Amino acid sequence: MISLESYIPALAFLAEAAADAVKTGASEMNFGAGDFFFYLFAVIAVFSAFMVVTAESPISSALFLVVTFFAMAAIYALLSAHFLAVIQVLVYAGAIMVLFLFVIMLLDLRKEELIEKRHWLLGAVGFVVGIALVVLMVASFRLSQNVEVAVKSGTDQEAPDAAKFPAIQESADQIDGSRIEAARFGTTRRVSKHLFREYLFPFEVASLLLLVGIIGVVVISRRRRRRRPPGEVIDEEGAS
Amino acid sequence: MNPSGIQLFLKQNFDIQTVMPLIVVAATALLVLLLEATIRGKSRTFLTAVSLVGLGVALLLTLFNFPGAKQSSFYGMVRTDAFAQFFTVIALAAGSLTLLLSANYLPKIKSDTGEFHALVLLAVCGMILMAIGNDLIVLFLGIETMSIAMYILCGIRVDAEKSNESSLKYLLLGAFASAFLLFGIALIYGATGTTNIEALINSGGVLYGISGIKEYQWDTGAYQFAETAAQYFFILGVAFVFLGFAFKIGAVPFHMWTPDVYQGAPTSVTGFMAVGVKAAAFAALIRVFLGIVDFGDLYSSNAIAYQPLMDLKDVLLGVIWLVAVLTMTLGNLSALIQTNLKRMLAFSSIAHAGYALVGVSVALRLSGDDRDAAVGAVMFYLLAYMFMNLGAFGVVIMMNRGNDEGEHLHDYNGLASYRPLVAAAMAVFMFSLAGIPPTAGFVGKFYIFSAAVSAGTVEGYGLYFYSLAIIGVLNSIISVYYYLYPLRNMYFVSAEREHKVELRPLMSASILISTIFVLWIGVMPKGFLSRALEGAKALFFG
Amino acid sequence: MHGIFTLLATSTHVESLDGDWLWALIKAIAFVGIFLTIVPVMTWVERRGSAFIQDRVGPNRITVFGIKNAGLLFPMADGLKFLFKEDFLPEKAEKILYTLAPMMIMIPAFIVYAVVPFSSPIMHESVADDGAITRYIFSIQIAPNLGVGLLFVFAIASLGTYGIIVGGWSGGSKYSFLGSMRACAQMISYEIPLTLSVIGILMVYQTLSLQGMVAHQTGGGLLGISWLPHWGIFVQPLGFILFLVCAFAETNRAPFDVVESDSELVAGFHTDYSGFKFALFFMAEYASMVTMSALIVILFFGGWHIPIITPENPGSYLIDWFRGFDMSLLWASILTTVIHFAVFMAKTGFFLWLFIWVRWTLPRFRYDQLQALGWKVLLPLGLVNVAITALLLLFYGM
Repeated sequence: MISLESYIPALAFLAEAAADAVKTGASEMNFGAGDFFFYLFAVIAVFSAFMVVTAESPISSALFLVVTFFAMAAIYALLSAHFLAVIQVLVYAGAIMVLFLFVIMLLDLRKEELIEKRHWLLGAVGFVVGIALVVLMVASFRLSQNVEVAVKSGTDQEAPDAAKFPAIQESADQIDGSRIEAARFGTTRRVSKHLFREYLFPFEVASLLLLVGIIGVVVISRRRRRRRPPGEVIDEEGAS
Repeated sequence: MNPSGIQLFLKQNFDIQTVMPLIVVAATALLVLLLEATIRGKSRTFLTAVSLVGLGVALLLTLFNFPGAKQSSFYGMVRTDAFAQFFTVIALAAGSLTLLLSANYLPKIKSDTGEFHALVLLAVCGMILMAIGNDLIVLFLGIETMSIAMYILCGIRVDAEKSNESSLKYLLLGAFASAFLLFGIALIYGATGTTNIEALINSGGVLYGISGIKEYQWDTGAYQFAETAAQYFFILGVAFVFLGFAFKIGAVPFHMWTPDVYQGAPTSVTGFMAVGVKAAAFAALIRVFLGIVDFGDLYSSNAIAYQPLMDLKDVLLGVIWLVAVLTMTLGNLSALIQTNLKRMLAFSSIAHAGYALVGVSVALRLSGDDRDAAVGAVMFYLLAYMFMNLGAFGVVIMMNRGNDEGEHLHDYNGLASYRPLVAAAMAVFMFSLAGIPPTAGFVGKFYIFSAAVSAGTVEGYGLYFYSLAIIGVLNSIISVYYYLYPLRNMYFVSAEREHKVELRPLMSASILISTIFVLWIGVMPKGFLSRALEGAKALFFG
Repeated sequence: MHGIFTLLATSTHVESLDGDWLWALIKAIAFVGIFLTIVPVMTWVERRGSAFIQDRVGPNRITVFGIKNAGLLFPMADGLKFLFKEDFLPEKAEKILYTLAPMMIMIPAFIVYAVVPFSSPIMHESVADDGAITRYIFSIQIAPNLGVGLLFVFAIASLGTYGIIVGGWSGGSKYSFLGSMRACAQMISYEIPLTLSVIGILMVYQTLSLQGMVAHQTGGGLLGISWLPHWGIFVQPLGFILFLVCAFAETNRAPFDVVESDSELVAGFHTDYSGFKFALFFMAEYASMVTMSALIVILFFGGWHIPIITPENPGSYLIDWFRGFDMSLLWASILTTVIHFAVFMAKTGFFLWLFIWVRWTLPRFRYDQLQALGWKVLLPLGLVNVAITALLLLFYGM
């Protein structure tokens, strides 16, 4: 049955994992050029993400978001996901954020005009959720370090009950294989192979989803022009 | 690759046959859009006809030419089993009935555009995707396709402020729920390395993220299974995904949006939302939850390390139990005090989601045939609910006199004296919704509560499920009051004045079909139930 | 395959100097330098060219020691003027963004050159005792190993929009704001057909790398004619026309210069700018023209490839010809590279001249005409081009 007690060790574990990650992170930091750029862009990304939510002017917010996207793209590139990096810049920074800016400027939102004092409880909840996410993140570092251990130690020794876990051997192989593939996995060719084979169906469905969005925009934006006296024949000429 | 080789490759991996109904519906939507742009007629009845033909073809394909047992295609992205078939039929039928209801209603509310038809069709596409989706990505895309179409359909009434409000509320809250759902999916993917439901179930979550990690013990030189953070991610992911689904089915405490959105939306859309969205969300919920939390004794050898994961099922059971009870009770109690029939039906639809959740909660505990029976009961209930609820909304539409008039309970005073047939149909729907024999609603509730009782016999869960059944029955009794209230008005209160109620052919046809099915399912449930059980059996892999 | 690539393919080892940071830096500085010098030259060509087209004399007043120099010193005067003019900050301007905007437009315009292959690579070889040939390769390209080449160009080029809209907005003036709104809408609209127009050619070349595209075009014997090279223009004529039109629109040049249409908006988005900030906007416009011309050359005119020299004309490779004079591979390839670079610049120069030629020949579009052309003509044509290319590739192979 449900036992709340079983979650107390869980929390304790997460705290321990967090402490562990910080410790090992500090001692084993091997600072290469790649690391330097990673931390550089990571700091930029986090800082500008912070600025996105704190900046007073919506324009600055939007521009900081662009910077965040850029830093993210750089991190993708460092992880040798070149295609993803370029698409990140092309789609998010180059197209979507331009539209954001466009709209913000059209509305002429110079400074955030409606700053309401938020309830302290909301702030508290936000703080708790934020801390929870940080714990999650740190725990995921710990997780990835475990994978590291598994790979480093090799898989020659049989696990105690491998028969029961057929996926284990496979997954270890997968990890080894993925190391070799890592340098190439982000290329356009590789990404498109995945996109047009395994993910062909979701890819096509996404186009359906976008179509719905487009129809929706047309329906909703056309309504304002429809304020005509009743009975008048609706002119079907769309926007031209 | 030579041409025949390519064809074989395509046939094996991209079997178009498996998604044919979806393609037909999507193509019809595009055709309707093109016709809307090119044909300049006053009447949109033609578009209704085209849409209905498309849905009809898809329905025939689904009923008679479905690829059948346990076939997955597109690299496991879709799975066309009897379960998918059942919910595809519900989606197509709901779409058809909605279009029939809307044909005469749209001009009344001055939103008679071709886009309406296209959006209904695309929403049906989303529902089909949720029925056949075998991958969290496809399910998410399906949910979004359906939801976005719904946001717009809610706000399609040109100048009605309430409609705009409904649309905006639904959009904002729905986007929030979608974000949770997506975050949950991401966490599950992070923990297990896959989004494929079949893979998640077959491995019982034993993917490298959760259990493939062996930590090297420096002191003993042996590998030990490490207690990994991944299981917490997995649990958190499951929680978030449940939260997203709970919003879509309008379960307490994520039901707040329902009354306003339902009331503001055009009535036929409200009906569509109440039955279609709910059924599709339940389809996805059942497919995701009944498999991936079933870890059995996979982890028994490492019971300490995986205790949280093994507890997950019980926790989830408890959560769904609580949500089901709250949803039933709150929905019914709020419906009691409503004077607007549309709003009342909105609250009642919350309660009905609660009844269906009872079945899901039961199915989580049971196994084998009992579990199939429980899942089958939920599926059967959703089918029955579709006909009775859309029928009831059909009558509301028929009584509508433009704007929001004709929705108040006193508008039904003395209806039986001047429109006996409409009143009789309404009586059937209300009896069915209340769960009074010999209607579909009764049979549906009967199966669900008997599943709950049979789950109560499981050692240690007696209190749990007996209480659930009792609370459910008590709730049904409460609901009788407000369902019979309109009947009292129709039959025992004399009309101050007779309202003009037009019996337009398409609308009447829709109500007639609903009535027939409500009675048919109520009197001879066996055929429908066996299809539902077949679907439930197909759901569980292996 | 071009002779250069054959040489690479027959090597036992190929060692690349391209990974070297220092070389990349040197190349970057060199190329940016080259293109910064192109800008003043272009302003001169623009002035003299417009005068020539309009049958005027054009600028000719600056004389040095009494020698008339056809206005060649005007760019220098411009430069001095930009440097010494007051750097004016409008009252309503958002200071930081106002200062950042010219940089936002300038930086992307130059980053794009990172992937442009200006010429064939320089090679050097050493033969070991056992006969194994090691060839060293030095690309005339700043970042030759970026597999996403063309996408990178589009990604970076799309960022130029920020400079325009931020520049127009931050000045706080209506004219510049309107100009930037127009620019934004126009660039977004034409980015779509621009990208669509190259999809066809990507399908033919099967690569995103710009050097790879040039390599693909060095083949000959198109349509059975031995001297006809595999240039993109012959393979994708429709794609070329679309790309050319969109290139004009993306650079906001006439006949698509509604962004800064002098008669309506004074000068468009940079109305408020003066001094060196204005110079940056001015230079960015020419820089993006150079980019677009270079791209047209690379995608559709074989890059640095000289037409007649194809595998179908044996012995025609410059590098083999030079080596015939008893030159080492290093010197032969340096000479070849220089000639190829000149060829590349000549082709690019032609398209730069085309930009000017068109500007002083055609009248400006009206704004709605411009949008209609983009969405109702170019976009469908782009789709048609992709479809036709796909069908041809499917039925007739590569």
